[in-house]
Amino acid sequence: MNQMLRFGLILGLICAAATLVLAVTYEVTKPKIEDQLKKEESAALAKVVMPGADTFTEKTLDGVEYLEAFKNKRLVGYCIRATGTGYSGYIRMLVGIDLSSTIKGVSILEHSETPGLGAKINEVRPKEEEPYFLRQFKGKQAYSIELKKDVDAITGATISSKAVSDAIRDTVNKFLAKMKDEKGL
Amino acid sequence: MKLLGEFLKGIWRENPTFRMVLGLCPTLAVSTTIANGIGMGLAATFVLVGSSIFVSLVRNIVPEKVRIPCYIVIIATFVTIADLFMKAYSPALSRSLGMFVPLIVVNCIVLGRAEAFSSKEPPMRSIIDALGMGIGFTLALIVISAIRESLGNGTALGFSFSRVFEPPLFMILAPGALLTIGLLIGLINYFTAKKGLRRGKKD
Amino acid sequence: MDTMKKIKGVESLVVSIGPHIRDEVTTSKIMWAVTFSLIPAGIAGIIIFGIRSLFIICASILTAILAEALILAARKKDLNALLDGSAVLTGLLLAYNLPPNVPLWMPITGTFFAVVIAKQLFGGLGHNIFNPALVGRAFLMLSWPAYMTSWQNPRWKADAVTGATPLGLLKERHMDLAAGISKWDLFIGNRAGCIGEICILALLAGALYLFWKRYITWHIPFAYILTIALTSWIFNGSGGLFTGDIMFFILSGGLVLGAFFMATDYVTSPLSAKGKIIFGVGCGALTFLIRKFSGYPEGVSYAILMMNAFVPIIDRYTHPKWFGWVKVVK
Repeated sequence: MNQMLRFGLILGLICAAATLVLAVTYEVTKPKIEDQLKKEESAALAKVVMPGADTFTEKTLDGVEYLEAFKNKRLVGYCIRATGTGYSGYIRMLVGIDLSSTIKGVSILEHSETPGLGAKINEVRPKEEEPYFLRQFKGKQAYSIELKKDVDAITGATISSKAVSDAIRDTVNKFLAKMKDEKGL
Repeated sequence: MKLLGEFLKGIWRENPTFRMVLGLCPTLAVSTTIANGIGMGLAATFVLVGSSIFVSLVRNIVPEKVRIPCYIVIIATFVTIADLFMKAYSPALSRSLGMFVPLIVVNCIVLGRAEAFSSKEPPMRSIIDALGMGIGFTLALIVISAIRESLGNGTALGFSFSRVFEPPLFMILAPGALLTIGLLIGLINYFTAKKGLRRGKKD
Repeated sequence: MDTMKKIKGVESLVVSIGPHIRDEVTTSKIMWAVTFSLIPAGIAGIIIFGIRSLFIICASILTAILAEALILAARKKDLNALLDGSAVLTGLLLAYNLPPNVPLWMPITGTFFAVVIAKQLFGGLGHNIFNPALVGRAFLMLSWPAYMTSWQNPRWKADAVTGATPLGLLKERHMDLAAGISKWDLFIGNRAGCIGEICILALLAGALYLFWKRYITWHIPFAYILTIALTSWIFNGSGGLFTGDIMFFILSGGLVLGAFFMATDYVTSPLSAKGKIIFGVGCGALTFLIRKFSGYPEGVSYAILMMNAFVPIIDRYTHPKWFGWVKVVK
């Protein structure tokens, strides 16, 4: 019993020391990490998804997550989080639409498509700023967007391309329906 | 002189990747680009050195029966420190290494060195040993990732030669990692065996 | 081991379960016979897709011979092993598994990989676990997927440059287009696909020759095709269970080429009849699963490769009982 107590004490001491060290490190790095995350997200938002907007507020509506985008305190559109099922996992993206549901920009936050094939949905050509596949979506009507009609699929990666366009259309439709319900009430 | 030997053995004679074949999961997973390889190698070296010092310092206090949990707590602490600092100051690298930074905790090289070396040796020698092992691991990662990146992606250290040939994606996918490591270990075994044979004949 | 080496020609022996009967048949003879039986399918491919297919086949075979010679020389082995026909067969089969408009460096790198990595690094003919031609194809598929999935229609069609395979159409949910291809077209090869897989008629002629010579047995191909027929009929129909179009799923992919010529490879398939049936059923089930649930439209090559890995364990558990064997009661 005495021995058990000694073991526990030593292990406890080491754990306590480790906790202390980690707490200090966490406090030191925390502001920096949060800063980085915010910088990344708002950069993506303001530059790619909703060019021109300056402030965003996070909202949820019946399971659809979105951000309201403001320019000079006036509502100019929504950035909706959409998830598509790609070739080898989920494709998470952010779709910016204005008040008439025209697409302002699309940004892929996370995907695990095959490098060199499906991953081309997020590929930027040399000397260009944004992915060539996603650029096609700009200015199209979000609720009726159709692969091979409004946007060209990537050669050899139809499944990944379709996942993106379908997710955008379906999520925006769901969002618009929910908004209608909301306003109707 | 003995310290130098302690340092050098990790780089060649007891290289963790090629000779002891330890820590293969991160090696297979992150050796897709040279930058990832260096980042992973340095993070692991930091954890190795840090945990070695502390394991060595507490080696006479920690009882035999609870040594593994103690080592793991020490290692996990250093891994979390590395992870947090990477997130704060190098978010791009942190994102591309992803899950594999936290997973250094279960990297057999780190616990292996704690168990086999620093739990028995004084701090100074443990540091030297950990440095050697860490640098050996980093070098192995650089070799593997250089082969995979240049063949599979057509780039190396910012140079692009994908115009010369169309890079086979195979090399940056999982089977390419297994193939590269297998061929490298095979080559090294071949040359060591040949060297051993020559030495044997001389004697 | 030394005495083994002294017996001349020990490498050409066929491993089988006893009783052993001496015969004139050698590995080399079988390899050349299989190569010969594949010629009609190649000619059909060249007629359907044009002369380019011939270049691909030639590039593939030449690379196979050169790579084999290179490794044999490096391993200080007898160069006569080149004549056993296995390298030529590997090259030929790999070419048959490529779309007709791949650039010429693809059959070259693919065959080199197949012969050097999948065959010789494992110890040469008889020691390779996986079918070398299929490993070559898997390597190309992973490395340059865009080339490996862009197809060409038969050259007499209006849009000959690009096409889609029948199974590809199905995967992209163009059911009507897939169903619009007649069974006769599928049978004679009037569709897009790999060079050697499309003309079922020519493939069956070759397979008949192999059956007649008794170089292959019915177990693997029939178990394979029957499994595909059953699973597709039950689960792969558009109108619910038991509505699958059996003939479509048998004729439209690489199944006939795979079942008769690649799953039956002596080195990488089980020895006993029971083992062969298990192997065939496994290939069929995996092919069906890949076709139905994965992102790939066709799964013959991966299914055979996966089952190759099971061959040692299948052989172990299907070892025939010897005469007078009694189960030990514990």
